[in-house]
Amino acid sequence: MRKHHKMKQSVRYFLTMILCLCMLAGCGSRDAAQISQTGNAAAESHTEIVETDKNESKAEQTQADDTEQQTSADSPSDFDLADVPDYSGDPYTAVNNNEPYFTADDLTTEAFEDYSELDSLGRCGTAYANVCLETMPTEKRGNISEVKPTGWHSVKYDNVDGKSLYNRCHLIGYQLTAENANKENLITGTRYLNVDGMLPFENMVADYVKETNNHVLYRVTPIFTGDNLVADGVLMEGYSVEDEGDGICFCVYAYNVQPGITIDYATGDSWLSGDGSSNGSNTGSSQATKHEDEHQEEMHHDIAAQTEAYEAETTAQENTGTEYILNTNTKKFHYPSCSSVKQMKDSNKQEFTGSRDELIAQGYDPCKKCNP
Amino acid sequence: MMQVIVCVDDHGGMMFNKRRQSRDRVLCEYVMKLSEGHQVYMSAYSAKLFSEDDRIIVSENYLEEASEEDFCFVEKESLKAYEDQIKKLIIFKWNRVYPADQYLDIDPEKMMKVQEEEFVGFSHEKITMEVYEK
Repeated sequence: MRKHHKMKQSVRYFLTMILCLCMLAGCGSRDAAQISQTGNAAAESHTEIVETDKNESKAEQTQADDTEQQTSADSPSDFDLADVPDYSGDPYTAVNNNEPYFTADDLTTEAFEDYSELDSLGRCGTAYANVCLETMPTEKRGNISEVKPTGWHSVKYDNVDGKSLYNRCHLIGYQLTAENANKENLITGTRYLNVDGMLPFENMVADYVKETNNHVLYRVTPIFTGDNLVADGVLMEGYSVEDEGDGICFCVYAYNVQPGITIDYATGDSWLSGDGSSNGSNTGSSQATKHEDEHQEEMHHDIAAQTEAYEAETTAQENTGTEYILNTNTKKFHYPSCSSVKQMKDSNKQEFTGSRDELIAQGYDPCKKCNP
Repeated sequence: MMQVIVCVDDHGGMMFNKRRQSRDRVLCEYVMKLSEGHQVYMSAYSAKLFSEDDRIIVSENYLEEASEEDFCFVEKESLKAYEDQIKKLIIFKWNRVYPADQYLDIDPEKMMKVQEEEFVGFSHEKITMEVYEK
């Protein structure tokens, strides 16, 4: 699905020509090898760029027909997962010397958003946007719980921040393109991937755009091995257009892992690392190690029933959301019963119904007293 | 001795891939206001953030050139070698997390925190200023 945002063609032509010339001249901070790699495309000039756009829908259709291909025509073909080191404690690692795989053809000041069609297994492909003020949200984020990405399990662990192992992970964060329940932009990602791996880059790009009113090419590609339903990680690329990468330039791989938890990427099943039993509460084989509320403990001996009840409760909670009270001044959120709420100025108080993850994604922190 | 100004994220990060983590135009105005009457030394990279001002001195060797009363706005330089010469350290905290591969490499806890203020930035809902002195 591609969204075009309006821009005068003549302006686009002018800026594109300037940017192509700049790249050919080797200006900016891009790696020389990368520039030479993209130079041929740039030399074919504006005409080629326009034709690329005209043929885009056809190219996308061809892509959609190719069920073996996991990403759209816009995905970086030079990336190889084999070049990525194994996870060793950092949530992301630079790849390709931190130089994104964009070519001269990509450089434009036309706003767009492009989300790949789901593949035959229902998995997301590349999400690609030219982020600018025009694409950013003007209203609060909506509910995304209706989307169940491939490999999705509602499973909680005590050793995961916020308990839930999996988040509906925006490929392109809401703060950049304002996409809510777009199933082509949501994958099953660990809490760690979402908060430690991806959010820092979204924050960096969002700030830059707000401060400069410039454009940032931003592309996120989920990397799946074989027919796995859960991505191994995501390739994230960013490049600021007007200043030729002086403000934003990165190419990183963020690991879809959760420290302390082992994940079966084929199915999304999970278990505590070092725990030989397979799967989380979805199959019910790991018991005391999982987050269990009183209701679940009553059915402790009936694992199947426990799993069913847990799923039903989680689903119900996701559909209705939880009620929180926000302090818009301190950026903390509380349960309505929290004693801090009574001390809050009315002018700073705001009711919210939704998920904890949504609030954290909006920059709110949980109250340390009521620990919502 | 010198007075140093830095910006950090929640993890003490300052830069990623040789680029600043973040920026805020209100913070730049704040820096010029708090340094009123003094010169502010910085690199050419940092100077792009500020409006033209006669008090801004641009140099790639500014940490060596600044005098005791001058301020140094530091984004990409290591401060480890200058730790003993810093009499005042002003830390602006973004209150967000950004990618980082370069961090503040001196420990403010070795100094005494004498001031803390919060203000609203242009692209940041809350920026915290902490002032440390020896």
